[in-house]
Amino acid sequence: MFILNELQQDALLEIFNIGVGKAAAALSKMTSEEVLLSVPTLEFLEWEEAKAHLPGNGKVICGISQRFDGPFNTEAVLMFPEEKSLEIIRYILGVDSTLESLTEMEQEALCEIGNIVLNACMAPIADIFSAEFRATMPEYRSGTSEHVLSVDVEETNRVIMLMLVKLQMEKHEIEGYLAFLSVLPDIQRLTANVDRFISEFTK
Amino acid sequence: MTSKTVLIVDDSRLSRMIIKALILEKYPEWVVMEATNADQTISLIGKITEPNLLTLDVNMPGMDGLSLVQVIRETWGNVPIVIMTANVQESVSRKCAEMNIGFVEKPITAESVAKALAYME
Repeated sequence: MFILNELQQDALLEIFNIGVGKAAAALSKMTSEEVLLSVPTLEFLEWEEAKAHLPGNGKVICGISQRFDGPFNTEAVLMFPEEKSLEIIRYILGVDSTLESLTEMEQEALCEIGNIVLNACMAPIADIFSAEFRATMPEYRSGTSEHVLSVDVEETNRVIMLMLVKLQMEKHEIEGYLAFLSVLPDIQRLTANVDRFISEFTK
Repeated sequence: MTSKTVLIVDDSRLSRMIIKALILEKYPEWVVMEATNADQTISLIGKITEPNLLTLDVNMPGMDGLSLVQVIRETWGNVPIVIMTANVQESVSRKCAEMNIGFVEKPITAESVAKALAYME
């Protein structure tokens, strides 16, 4: 099993915290509401094991996913319960939506919201590593969290890094998640970058 | 400059290390104390004399930094407090302004630590 030492784990969480803080600020600006953040959790698990740790309790959620390639590669996903996603779109765009399902236009709007929030998160992380991320186009997914967060895990590289942060918007009783998933070779590159970051302060 | 005492409250060991190193690099004679959460801070309040400055993280396990300010104020009414956080929402900086405490964004750099120390003046 892949294990980080205490300082590496602490640094990794702190680096992502900075990104998540920026993401929350972007979401808060769009919704004019304070976004409460949980303390992030970080786990290294086999994918089969990780499925049991995913939020949503098997309910249908929707997520906006983007892959970021750079100093390390990660799949970043912003997730909300499906019915709450419509509320967010209505709130941000000031339009009415039927609660039955998301139209194409609404999915596009949600992708753009995800694009802004996820890039706000990853930009400061790139700055910390003095590097750049190339992001794919945001992709809308709907289903259980297992489907929304699916990653390509090869038989020989089954370990993933799963980082989860809960986002709460109390006024509208909306609870969502930011998730980051990386597979083993990407985790090793991430760890090497974290070690470089730590060494700058422990010379 | 006379020796001063700074108390850093942050659940991140690395953050505490960086803040401490940057302060001591500039002011080696200062005393820098650390606490990892609200409980540790509250237990320190009864044991140490009032520091010259407190830096507080917001998102910590247990009581968050902004709630901790209220507890600290019951004993140390006038100690300058600076929130050093990655939670850069306008609502957080507004609460800091309302509570009359400083607000400094992470990541921690020499500039951000200098900005935090300026709240002592």
